[in-house]
Amino acid sequence: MSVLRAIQPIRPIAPRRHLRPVSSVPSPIRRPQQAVSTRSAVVASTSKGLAKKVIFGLVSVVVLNLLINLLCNQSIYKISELKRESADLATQAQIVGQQVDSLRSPQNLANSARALGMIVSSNQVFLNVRDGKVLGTAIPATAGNANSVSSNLIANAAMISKSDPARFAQAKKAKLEIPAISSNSTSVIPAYPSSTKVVLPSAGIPASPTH
Amino acid sequence: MNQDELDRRQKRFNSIVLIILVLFFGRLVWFQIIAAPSINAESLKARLVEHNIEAVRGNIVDSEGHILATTAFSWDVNIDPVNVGPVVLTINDQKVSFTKEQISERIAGILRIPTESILSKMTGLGRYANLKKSVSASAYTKLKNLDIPWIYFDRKQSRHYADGAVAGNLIGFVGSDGSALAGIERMMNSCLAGSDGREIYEQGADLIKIPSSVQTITPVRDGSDVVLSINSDLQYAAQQEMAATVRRLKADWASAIVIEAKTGRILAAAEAPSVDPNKPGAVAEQNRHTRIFQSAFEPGSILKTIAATTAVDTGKATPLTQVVAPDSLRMPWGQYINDSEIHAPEKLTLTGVLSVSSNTGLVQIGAKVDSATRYEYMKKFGMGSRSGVNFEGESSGQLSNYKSWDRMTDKVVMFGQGVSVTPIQTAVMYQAIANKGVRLSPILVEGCRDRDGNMTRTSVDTPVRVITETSAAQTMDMLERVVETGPIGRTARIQGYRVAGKTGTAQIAEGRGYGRLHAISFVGIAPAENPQYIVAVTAYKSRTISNSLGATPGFVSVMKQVLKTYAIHPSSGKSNKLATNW
Repeated sequence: MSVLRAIQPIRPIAPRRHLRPVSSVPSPIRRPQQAVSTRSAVVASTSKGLAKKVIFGLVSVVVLNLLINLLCNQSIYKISELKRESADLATQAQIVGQQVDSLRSPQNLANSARALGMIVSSNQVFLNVRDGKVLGTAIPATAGNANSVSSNLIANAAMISKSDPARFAQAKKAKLEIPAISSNSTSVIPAYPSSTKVVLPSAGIPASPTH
Repeated sequence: MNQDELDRRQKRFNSIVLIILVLFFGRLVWFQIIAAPSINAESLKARLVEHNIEAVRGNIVDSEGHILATTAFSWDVNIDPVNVGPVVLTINDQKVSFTKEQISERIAGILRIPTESILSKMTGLGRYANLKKSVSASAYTKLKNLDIPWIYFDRKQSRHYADGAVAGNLIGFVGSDGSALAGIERMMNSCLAGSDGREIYEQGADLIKIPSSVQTITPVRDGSDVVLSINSDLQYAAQQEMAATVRRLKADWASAIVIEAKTGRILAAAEAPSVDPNKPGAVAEQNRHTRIFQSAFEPGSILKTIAATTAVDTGKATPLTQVVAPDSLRMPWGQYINDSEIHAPEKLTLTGVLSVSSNTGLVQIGAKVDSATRYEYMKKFGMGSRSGVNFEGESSGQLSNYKSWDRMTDKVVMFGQGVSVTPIQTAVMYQAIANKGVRLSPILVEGCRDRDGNMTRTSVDTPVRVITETSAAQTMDMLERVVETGPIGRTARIQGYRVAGKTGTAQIAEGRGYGRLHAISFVGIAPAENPQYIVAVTAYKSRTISNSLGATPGFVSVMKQVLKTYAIHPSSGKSNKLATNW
């Protein structure tokens, strides 16, 4: 169909060159053409409109497809970049996680406790908070009965970070400012100002979740 | 040129154009319709990538959910020797050029390997040379940030044991290829391993994955977690104590087991020397196993409790049955059974026999029960069969049929010779006494928990009623007197708590006889009035103290830690003060 359309424009050009009077030679072929001219003109005009719409639709689809492809391609690269970033962050998380694991490992805690001069309680005593009853006999630690925490004897090749005992001195200097209860206060509840300043050691044994 | 000629030419031209167009159209049909499937297939083949998705191995966690073993990533660092050359690095916003020797020094510093070994691998025309395997995330990041074009990395899964050797002998370890080699890692491999997945996807020329093209062939199933009954804090404390015990006694090894009396859960199974699964090669091969389950030896006087409770349960004796115990007892066939020290004949009750651990006294009372019955009781206490944990390579110990016992074996089995048990079997025997006469299957692995939190609990053997509740209570009374009055037993006292227990000093078989060194032990139960925990301590081949005096400090330390960990209140009430002499 497209081939025929391409050839059609050639026909009217060729006769025009010869300028022959065509009125004297009525073409028997043209008559039937004229006879159907009104109907075919309507059909042709309708077909043209339809063709235009189809072409416009096809072009729109192609353009839209191109746009979507373009966006998809951009997204693919974005996804790829984000995946790389995510992998890098996962690596960082692994490093930090392992440092935390090291600091809270029992090996590190035992060494830190020893460096702080902590001792093992010689016997445990319980206080029942409901009735205030003390269960067990409290024995104060003395030079004779106090066992200091033994330094760690259990190997741990995964311990990549250790607490620095040299910094424990800072912990000793740490001050906890507790506001005094006003003498003329009528309330038994101490009026702590909202800006209670707690000075914590900047280094020392890091807090670890109990497990 | 006339009109006809022009028309002919016109027609010819039209025909040629038509033919060309038909040819084009034909070709188009060929490409688009006829050959399209094969062209598409070829194109797809070039774009398609089939990829294996490695399943992530599950964690091993303790009873509190603390992770003891997990999967992390490590990297193999490789170079492309043919492309090795100077590198330009940006340092403080300035571009600095480094020769390959200079950059090698930097790499060596990060990887902690000699510079020479790096330089030697840089030569040649190969495309691959490995600098170091399994480097940490930290070293990988440092190297990656150098952005050296001829270095590349292979990421792989590796096991990370954050607490090192804590429970290391139980957990086991994996090989460099990730295969499970020992311990729970191997025993529970089917739970931990998961199954790899496979997917195919299309990738562009720049190796970018096209997301919409991903097709899963086999979905990946990550491994599940293994939940242990172990309390890792308690395990650490027990291991510390055992390491100190080995040092103090110059022993080959020492072990401590903590069992919950009413559930059979193993709360700690510590031994020293221990293996750090992060670096199993750092200790000798014999220290990479779990002796608690795998080493059986003659237990010695620890078994006297079983002979005594058998006599009580069968009605042949009571805790107050009287006997005269000499230091040496002549058997009718001429052989002698001796006590560990020379002493004048003592008038002992069965309780006293246990308190001073008299061989001669026990043999006289124990012999009131026939061999077949004693054998049956020993079996019911778990001797001669594996504990129920079914730890890999677990030993069942040795308990030969009573029919094969000779006259002397028939007597010495009562005080732990001629039979062998593992440390876990010893602990389980005392668990039965502490649990009102019912022996439970010990639990080390609580179960396998999938990623959705669904737990498949480990199956346990049916509990076994070994002795009556009354006999168990009477045995507890006798054992409490061991700690109250025994010359060694009293060193196992814990202030504020009622403790029951038994000492054990066993000769170690060497060749056809016994060697000079001993396996010393103490098994204790606390609090005696409501037995909750059993702690069994053994030190093998002690070279400084040859009796249970070497084991009781370890017992006291571990039991104190247990009572502290589980906030057991100090005991109330007093023992029955059974008479030990008459």
